[in-house]
Amino acid sequence: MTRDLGEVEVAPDQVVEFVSPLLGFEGHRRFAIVPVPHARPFHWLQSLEEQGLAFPIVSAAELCVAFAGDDLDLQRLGADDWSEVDFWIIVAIRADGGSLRPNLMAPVAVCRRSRRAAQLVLAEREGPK
Amino acid sequence: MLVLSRRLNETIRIGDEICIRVVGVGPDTVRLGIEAPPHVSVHRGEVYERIQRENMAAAHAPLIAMERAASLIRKQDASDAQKPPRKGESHSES
Repeated sequence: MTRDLGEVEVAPDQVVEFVSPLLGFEGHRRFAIVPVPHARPFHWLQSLEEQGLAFPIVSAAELCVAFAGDDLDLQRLGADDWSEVDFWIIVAIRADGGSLRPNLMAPVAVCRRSRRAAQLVLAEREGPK
Repeated sequence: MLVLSRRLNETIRIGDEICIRVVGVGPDTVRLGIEAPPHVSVHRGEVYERIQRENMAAAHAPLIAMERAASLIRKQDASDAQKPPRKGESHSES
């Protein structure tokens, strides 16, 4: 059951399990990524645990944006390399739809093979000095 | 709040798995090295709060706003496609 789309059949390959949760939503781990009818290129990142929780997301590839994390991220996601990982960008949409704020600081990474997901906070990566 | 004084290179341990070391002290900054297991997420406070706020804001968009935003994006795409090719770009004429 979804927030705005009524009852939707979710295929296993649309389900993801967060290993690093969405900040502020630590209790929510299982989500489905489902396309929004009549609103391409948006998808919903819909909680499977709470019907009222869903985030508008857009594929980073659709926006021609590329990201990469580090080896620890790959390990957490259960991926061998970044070619197995899709990135999604959470978008804050003003209530009238007139302005969009994509969150490029913290994209959602999804390993296609393991179906594990993580919100990667790329804004603050800093190596040892 | 527990308050502890530490010198350069001294550590604080939180539980069995988390270790924080003072690796640098400047006039108005302190550099900390943090060792924590992979399942513990570590963020600067202000970055964490900003991303948390963005996530909260995104979670409240109504469906109608998303449909309207999508139609604006598609209109933008369509008007880009209709623009004549710029000088220097190759295009075939029949």
